Amino acid sequence: MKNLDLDILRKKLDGKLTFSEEKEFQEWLMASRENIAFFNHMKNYRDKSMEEVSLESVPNTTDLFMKRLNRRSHKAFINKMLKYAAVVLLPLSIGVGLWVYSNNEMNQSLVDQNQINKEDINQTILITSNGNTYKLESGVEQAVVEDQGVKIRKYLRAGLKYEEQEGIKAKSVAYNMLHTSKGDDYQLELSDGTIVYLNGDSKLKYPVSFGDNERRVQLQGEAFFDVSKTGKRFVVEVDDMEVEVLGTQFNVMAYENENSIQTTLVSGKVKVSINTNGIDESLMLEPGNQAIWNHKEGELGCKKVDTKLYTSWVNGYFRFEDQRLEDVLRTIARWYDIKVFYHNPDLKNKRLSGRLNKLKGLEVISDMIEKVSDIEIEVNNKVIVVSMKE
Amino acid sequence: MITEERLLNQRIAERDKNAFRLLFDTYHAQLFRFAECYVCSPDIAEDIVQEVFIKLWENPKIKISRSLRSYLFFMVKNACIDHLRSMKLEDKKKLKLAEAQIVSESISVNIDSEVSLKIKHAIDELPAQCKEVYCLSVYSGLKHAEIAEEMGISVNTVKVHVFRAKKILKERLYHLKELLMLFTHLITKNKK
Repeated sequence: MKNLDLDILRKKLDGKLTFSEEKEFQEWLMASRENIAFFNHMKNYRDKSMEEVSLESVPNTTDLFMKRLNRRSHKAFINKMLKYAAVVLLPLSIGVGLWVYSNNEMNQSLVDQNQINKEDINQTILITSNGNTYKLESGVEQAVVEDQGVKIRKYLRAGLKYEEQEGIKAKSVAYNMLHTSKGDDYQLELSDGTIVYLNGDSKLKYPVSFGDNERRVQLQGEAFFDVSKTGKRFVVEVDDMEVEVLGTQFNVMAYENENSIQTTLVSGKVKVSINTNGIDESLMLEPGNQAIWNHKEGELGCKKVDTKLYTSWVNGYFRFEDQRLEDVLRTIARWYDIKVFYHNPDLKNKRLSGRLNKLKGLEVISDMIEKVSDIEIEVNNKVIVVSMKE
Repeated sequence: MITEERLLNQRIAERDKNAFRLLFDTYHAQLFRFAECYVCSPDIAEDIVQEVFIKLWENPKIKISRSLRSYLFFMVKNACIDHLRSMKLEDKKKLKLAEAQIVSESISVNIDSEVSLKIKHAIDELPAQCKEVYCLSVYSGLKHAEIAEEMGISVNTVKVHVFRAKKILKERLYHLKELLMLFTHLITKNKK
């Protein structure tokens, strides 16, 4: 179909079409729903008075726009993610011993956790193979760091980026670790171009440069991966579980206070393997499916889910659907670094649905929860107390 | 005005968020009305305008030869044309472009020299005071309050004149045979 002259739509509204133009118009109009909608929009626009389209009456969106610009790096990341193939999400319980690695190679050059100063705990930090720690405050441009011939750059909005320098081959495998504080998320690009979006209170250990074999990283907490296609396996180790992909996107959640592993696949293919206490099972996931690995019970199951519920955090939202209040508040408490107390344990089983902006602040979020339920939330510094409305 | 914009341009190249905010604040209303005239939807218009600003912010190396203002209009115009194309629509006689310039009070040779010239001829035929007010607003970029002060009339009178000018120009655009002929003439000339 040829492009229709916009002026024909105007003439249609004025009732001035010739017979042949009318035919052309009808053909265009019926071609798609969008066209019909546009024609209606055009009619509405034409009916507007001069005052309604004056410059003074344009709503001022400067503040909203600047907020959007500030959140931009996150958004750009998600759009990129969703454009591609698979999104997997994997919540998991982690024992205390997670950072005592069974893999010696992984262990050799990582600094001892104890070396991290107490004050660093509340800040997002990078620990390099030689034991240096760098505070990664958001919004501050920082100097370039070099580790084993790999350049590490910190960008204002984009986060960390690892760049392999040509001609220089690392002598040994060097590992870095990124540790985000509560209420802070961070984005980094690994040397193979894989992008990782690390949620708050999480740790990721990764080699500064991947060798010739498979690519392997270790996670505690939650992260969203956009794995670049290199033809080599990409494996995320989480406690006694592995998620294996060959160039795709997925999200892994592994906070120690969650008691099950949930691997959610949006599209593409991912293999989940468990190897612990004599259990050796693996599962290929289909898009829209969620594998649930209950560590304590030793049970591996699979169900269909709405994947958006498990990936919304990347976009700056908490999303819940018919979830227990205890689960909802645990997620919120993790982000805001608070403790939750219940007047009555029955309250924990109340069910909630909704979408909350995690940057709105705790007060706003607790207000919203109060509005849609019969519970009352009292916010008191770092503690919230949940009770029934009177 | 020109030096001011050069300074702004430089500050934006240096990723100064306050300068960027000022730029958005200054041109948002005009760009929004311009886009809205094309896409006929406030939501899509707002989206288009914001996307253009985001692109500018994320690519500070974009070489802007004329001015930030004409760059912004140029980008918004292109985004609108793309949007129309996705619905198999085309502004063949550039009538929509003329209307968008009139509605957004942003008649500029930098947006489209031929169309702007045609509008300029139509402006020449406006009633005297109406024409003077409209020219000050469109060509000198004065705010309504500034025009009121300069001409010693009330802000409301300025507004009335601007509305009237826009209304007359819009009607002329679509009803004056002569103007239409000229537009058509331009198109056929371009095709050759």
